[in-house]
Amino acid sequence: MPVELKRLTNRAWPAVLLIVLTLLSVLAMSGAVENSARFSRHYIWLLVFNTVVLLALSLLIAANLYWAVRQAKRQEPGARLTLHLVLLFILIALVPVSVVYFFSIRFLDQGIDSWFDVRIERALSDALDLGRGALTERMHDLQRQTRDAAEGLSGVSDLRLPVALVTLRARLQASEVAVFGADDHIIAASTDPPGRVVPNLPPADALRHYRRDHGYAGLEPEGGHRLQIRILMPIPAPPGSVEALQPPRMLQAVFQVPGRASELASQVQDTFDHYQELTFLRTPLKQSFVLTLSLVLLLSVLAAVWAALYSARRVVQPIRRLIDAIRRVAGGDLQAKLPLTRGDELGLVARSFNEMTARLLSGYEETERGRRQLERQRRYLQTVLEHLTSGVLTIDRNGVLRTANAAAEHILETTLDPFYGRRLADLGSHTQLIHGLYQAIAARLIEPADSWEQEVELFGENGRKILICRGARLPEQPGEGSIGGGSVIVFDDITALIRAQRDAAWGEVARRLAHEVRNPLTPIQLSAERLRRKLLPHVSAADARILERSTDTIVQQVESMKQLVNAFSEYARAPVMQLSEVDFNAAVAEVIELYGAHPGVSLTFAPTEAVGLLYADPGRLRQLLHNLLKNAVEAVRDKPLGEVHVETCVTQRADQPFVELRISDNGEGIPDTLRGQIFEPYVSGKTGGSGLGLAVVKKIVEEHNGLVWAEPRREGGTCLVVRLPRWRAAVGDA
Amino acid sequence: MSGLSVRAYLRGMAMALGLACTAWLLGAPPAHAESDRFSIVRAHAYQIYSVYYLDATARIPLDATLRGALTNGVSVVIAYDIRVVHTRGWWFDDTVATLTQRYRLRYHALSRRYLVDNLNTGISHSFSRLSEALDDIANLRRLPLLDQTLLTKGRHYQVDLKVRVDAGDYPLPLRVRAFLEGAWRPSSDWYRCPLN
Repeated sequence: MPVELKRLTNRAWPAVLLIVLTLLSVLAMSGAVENSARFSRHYIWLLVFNTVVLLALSLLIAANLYWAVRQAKRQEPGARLTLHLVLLFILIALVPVSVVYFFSIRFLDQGIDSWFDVRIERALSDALDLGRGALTERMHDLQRQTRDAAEGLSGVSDLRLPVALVTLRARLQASEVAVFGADDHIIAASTDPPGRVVPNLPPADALRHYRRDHGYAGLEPEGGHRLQIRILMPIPAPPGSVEALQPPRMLQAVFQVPGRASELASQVQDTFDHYQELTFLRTPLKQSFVLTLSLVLLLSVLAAVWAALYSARRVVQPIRRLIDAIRRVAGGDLQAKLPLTRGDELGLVARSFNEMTARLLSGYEETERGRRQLERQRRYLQTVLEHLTSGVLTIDRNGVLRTANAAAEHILETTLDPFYGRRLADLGSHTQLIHGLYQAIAARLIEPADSWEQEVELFGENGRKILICRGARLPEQPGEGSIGGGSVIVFDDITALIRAQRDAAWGEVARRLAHEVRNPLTPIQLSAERLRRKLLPHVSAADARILERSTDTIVQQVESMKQLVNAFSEYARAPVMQLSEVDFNAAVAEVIELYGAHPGVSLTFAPTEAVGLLYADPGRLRQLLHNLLKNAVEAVRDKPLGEVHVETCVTQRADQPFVELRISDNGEGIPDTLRGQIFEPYVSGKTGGSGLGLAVVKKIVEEHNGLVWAEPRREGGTCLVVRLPRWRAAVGDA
Repeated sequence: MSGLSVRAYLRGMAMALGLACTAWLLGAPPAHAESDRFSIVRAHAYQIYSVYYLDATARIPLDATLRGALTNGVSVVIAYDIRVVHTRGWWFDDTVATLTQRYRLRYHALSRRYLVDNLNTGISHSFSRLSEALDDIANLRRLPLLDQTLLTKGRHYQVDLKVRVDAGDYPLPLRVRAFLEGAWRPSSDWYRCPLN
């Protein structure tokens, strides 16, 4: 219901209708005040109607104002502007109207007062007295004539009386003469025009006067403007007659005041009456005018207030819509449109706003498309980078690390997350590899050349690494801060490649050496044995000892060389894997058994049950374990309390389960000069070693897709770690 | 600006704004003593041949306000509202005929007499005293009401009448005052007498 009411009060036509009706009504009232007979009769109802309409208009405006104030309190868009406009309009309307009203009332008051003057009143009163005096004089004259006539009628008999009255009326020029008896009954009468049945009877007050004063003369108004003079006179009875004892008869003579005199007297009378009435009605008259004027003022003010409200709302409505739409746009809704209902400047604003939002929308969509495309490209590049085996780093022009891929972290053996946003030059030496890398390529980064390539050799916890680095300058992007410029560094870990090349070369050397060396060894050995057998019986004892010792030396050395050649041959032999399920813990325990009785060395084994089965070549696995244990035992052989600790465990790296074998010793450890090379052939820290033991270990581990490395122990000695992939079936069983 | 102007200004505003309330509050005539009020003392309706006539006596006391107006040239119209009704016990009364008998009372300054015009017949009478003029108006004699043929036989009819000052005939400025103040438009209660 309030919504309906609000809609009704928001429309123009109810108020316009009310105002027009009231205006007509006020016009009618104004007509009524000016004595228009048509409206005069309905004056009161016009007044009531106007009051009711003005009350309705007031209510309408009050409701509108209430809503406007409420909207302003709620801080709805445009509400304050509406209120300001309304107040301004009201002020503009009210001030001149009030001034006009004020002065109108003043002029009205003074104007009406100016109608009245004591002198006019006196003049009118005097005129009335004058008229009255003139008529009174005439009346006295007629009274005298009538008295004479009455005396003339004394003694006239009733039979002659009518004729006498006719004569008398004619003589007196009266309109009517009549004779009344003692009880006021008519005896005879003569009227003009003749034939009037009942003569003009004297009124009661005239009779009263007559009886009291024995005569009566009075001026009497008739209907209209006519005046008549009535004279009552007793008809004296003849002296000595019988009638003298009775109350005298009464002669009535009625005279019409002549037309001109009557007219003038009536005019004076009317004017006097009118003036008297006006004087008496002065205050109510003023009130009537003030009332009409006040109604007109109220109507004007209320109409102005309503028009102010209506036009303020009309003016503010498009602005309110605009504010709403701007808020929506600010909130991210670019679909906001304004209705194009006006052809004025506000319509132009609405059209421009719609064009602006349309352009914003298309711009936004284009930007969004671009952003999505960039995002796709970024994800694409990210994926490519993440799956590159080459490490990629980008640094800006200040040498600050910006991005890196997973391969870079892998190669540099560290997590790079903490270093993003930091200058590579500021990184300490604890970040050994990345620090080393930066040191090696720092000079290149400030070169003007667009691209460069450099081989870098680094030493990390896992030994020596050889990286091949390629750098390229990133394009400058002016105006985008420090994002542009800088360099991209791509590097590959070619340690394994070089090592593989070296291993291949060594294998070839070993194969050729074995082939070339093994062939002459057997004839040498056989020749030496035949020399001893043929010559020993033929030589002296002293020579025989020399001969025996020499041939023994030859045979032993040849045997030694054969072993060496076999070892080389073994290293160079092409792998023929015979894979089967192997219980890793059991295999380790079995080999440890063989070394269990080694004097002076404490050998301990800590298996982890979860290790389970491996899919491996049992023979090669055994050789691997054998070589490692042998190496470890030999490392602690010279120590008074040699300890070798073997343990197995399971690790998880990048969703891939591995089995790890860790063989720790408390020996001298690996010299720094050899670290990183101990798995290369013919590198040995021991005197008399072939230098192939760990090379073979590495070869077997790689044949099983595993890794092997050496870690220096903090308490001294070395820990050799072998990491082999866990068998999938075993994983499933676990 | 004169004091009167200011007063008029304020009064005008107050009148315009408070008109409805004032009208409602003052619309009813103020209570007067019984002798001061207009009233019908007696009334008698009777039939002579086929015409019904009405005799009535009223009390028409004019107070000082109206007397003042009268002597200042304002004519006062006194009207009898008469209606013949068919009374129905089970429903509203049925008005058969209505009649308004109006007399204009005015003061004739030239002759210093009060003039009573019967506005229905046009006949005028003048009186030297106001009381006589009022007595003349207060006594209705043989006022023809209606013809017998207009009535249905066997039905019970009654005559209602009241006497009042007709405010509609005041000069316009007085009409607003009469609308607001009951003293300017005294009226009697309805008086009912049977139509014999």
